[in-house]
Amino acid sequence: MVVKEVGALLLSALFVVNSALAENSISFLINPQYNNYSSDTRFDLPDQVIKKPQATSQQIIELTGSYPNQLIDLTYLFSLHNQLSSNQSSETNVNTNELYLTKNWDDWEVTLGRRISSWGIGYGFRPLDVVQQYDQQTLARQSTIGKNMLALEQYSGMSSWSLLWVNPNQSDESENREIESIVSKYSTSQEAYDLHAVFRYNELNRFQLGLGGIHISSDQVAVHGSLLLSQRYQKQIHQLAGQSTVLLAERFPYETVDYHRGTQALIGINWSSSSKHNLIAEYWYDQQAYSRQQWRKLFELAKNQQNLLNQTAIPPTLIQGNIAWSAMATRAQALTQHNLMLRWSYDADHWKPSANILISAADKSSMITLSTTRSTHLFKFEAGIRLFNGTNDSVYGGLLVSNILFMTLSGEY
Amino acid sequence: MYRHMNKLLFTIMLMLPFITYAETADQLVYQADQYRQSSDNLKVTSLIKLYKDGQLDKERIYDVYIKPDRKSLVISQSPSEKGQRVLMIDDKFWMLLPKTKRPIRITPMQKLLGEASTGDIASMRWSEDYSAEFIASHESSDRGYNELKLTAKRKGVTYSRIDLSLIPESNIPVQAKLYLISGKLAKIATFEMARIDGRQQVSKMTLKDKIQKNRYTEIEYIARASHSLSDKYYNPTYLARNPSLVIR
Repeated sequence: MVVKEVGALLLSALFVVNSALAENSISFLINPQYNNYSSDTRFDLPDQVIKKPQATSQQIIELTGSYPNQLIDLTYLFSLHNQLSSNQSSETNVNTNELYLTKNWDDWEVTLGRRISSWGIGYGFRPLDVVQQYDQQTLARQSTIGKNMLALEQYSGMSSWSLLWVNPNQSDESENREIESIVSKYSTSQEAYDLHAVFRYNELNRFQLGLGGIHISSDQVAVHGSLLLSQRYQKQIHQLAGQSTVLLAERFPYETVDYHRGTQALIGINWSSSSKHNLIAEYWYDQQAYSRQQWRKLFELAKNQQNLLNQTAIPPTLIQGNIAWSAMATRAQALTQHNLMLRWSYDADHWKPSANILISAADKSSMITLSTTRSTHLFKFEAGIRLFNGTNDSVYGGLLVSNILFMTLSGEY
Repeated sequence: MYRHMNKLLFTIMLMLPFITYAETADQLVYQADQYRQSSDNLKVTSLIKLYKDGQLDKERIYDVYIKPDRKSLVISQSPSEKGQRVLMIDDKFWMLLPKTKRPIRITPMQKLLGEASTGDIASMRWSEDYSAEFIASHESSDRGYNELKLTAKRKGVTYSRIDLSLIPESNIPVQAKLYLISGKLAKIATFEMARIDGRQQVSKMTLKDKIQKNRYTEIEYIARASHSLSDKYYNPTYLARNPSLVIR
């Protein structure tokens, strides 16, 4: 993998060095976090079983650029990502985030290579983001890695159409995002609204059909929504959840369960005032996340597993390993089916504060993020805190981490 | 019937001077525009400095690509927000945030609340956004000026009304009083001229803030070049297409 990345870097360097027209920029990002953990959660375990670093830091350097040529354009984005952790050794990765060739004919373009294609409408959730699938809620900054693709696109007036063959010949079903897919998208911008339609086919989801739009209702208000219907979807279900006879598994207890006819939907409203306040409210439903009943069963299992730690007849490592397996469900990108998000921000002269609350409607637990941002000419700085609230058998209250202090310093030159 | 026709003719004759002045006023504004945007297709690099209590408080640099039919693409070149773009087409606006590949359609208010100076640099032709009315001609010992009143004819413009002062005959802009939709005087703009590419052009615009009186903004047009950008760069979906925009 390292040889491939270095080879790609050298190839691009050759293009860059030989071109007077190449435009490059280099950016950096430093993102330290301080994590506090809860001992009240049902997934609590000693540090030697589950790593609970108090301090982590991401450092990312990106080199991005474009080299136009009479025949074909080359675009690239490389990153060096270093992760520091208070109780782990550091980890460094060199990534080829984007590296693609583009050929233009009038309104048409053909693209071959790795590219980031991020679609969708929404702040907290984007059902139509079927190619890239960003995690909208993470604080840990990542350098986004694109998907390998062959794309044919047309840009005409205020509309565009795309046909993508994503992850050609990839058949790794363990990671849905990397599955070979055929994707098509149509977008149009009209006087008061934008509309997007998405179609996707792969062996896992079979057919997916999506529609989304935003309507500029007034000078201050915009309404948006999107819907994605999937013929099939999967969830990782713990085989022991929902019963109390067998509490410990001897091997990885999750199985992949197929479901039919999945729905992901979002509706939201955005309001801005002349006094520089902005409010966003969104509700979304994600059928691919655990339901309240599925979480209840998993929390009950974890509670019963914790109670076994008092029994000396069972090796504690077996119990702790099973609790760690149960906790894995909390790392899913989509945690709850019914979500309500409210976000406020104030566009002050220097410091721009914001507050964001994400509520799990089923169990009333919440994730609150308070932050403030300041931009000078050279840098952008953000600092904030994220708090998780709820009972220990609720989605956000049941997480291992109770709050996170974070900062970000970034700039591009 | 003849009495009605006579009345109609008389009314038209009374209105004629005003109609003539209205046409002339729009033409005067168009001529004033040529000192700011001399070409229909233009790339302007603007350096914006915001001063507070006499000290430099904020500095930003933008590349603005202007095209006919009120198309404007503003690309931030400041390190703190490099890659941020605002696309304006008529009364429609989209924003691309740094490090994202997804354009967002925004409301006119969101566009105004961004870096407020975006509105001051994105459009360089009053004649496209305002209808003009001749108010008066002022004489003075050193230099007289013509006063015009500009009223916004579109949504999403930063200022709903402008009182514009032009040097007679040359129509070089001297001063512009900029009013918000509430009627409040927001800023007073003054213009510095310089000989650029063999002709007189506005080289700097200074905006004195009349609401926050300890502040003023200097917008210096540090580079200007005729530049025709392909239509697809004004397609919202294409806004995200190239991470570092190389214009051909």
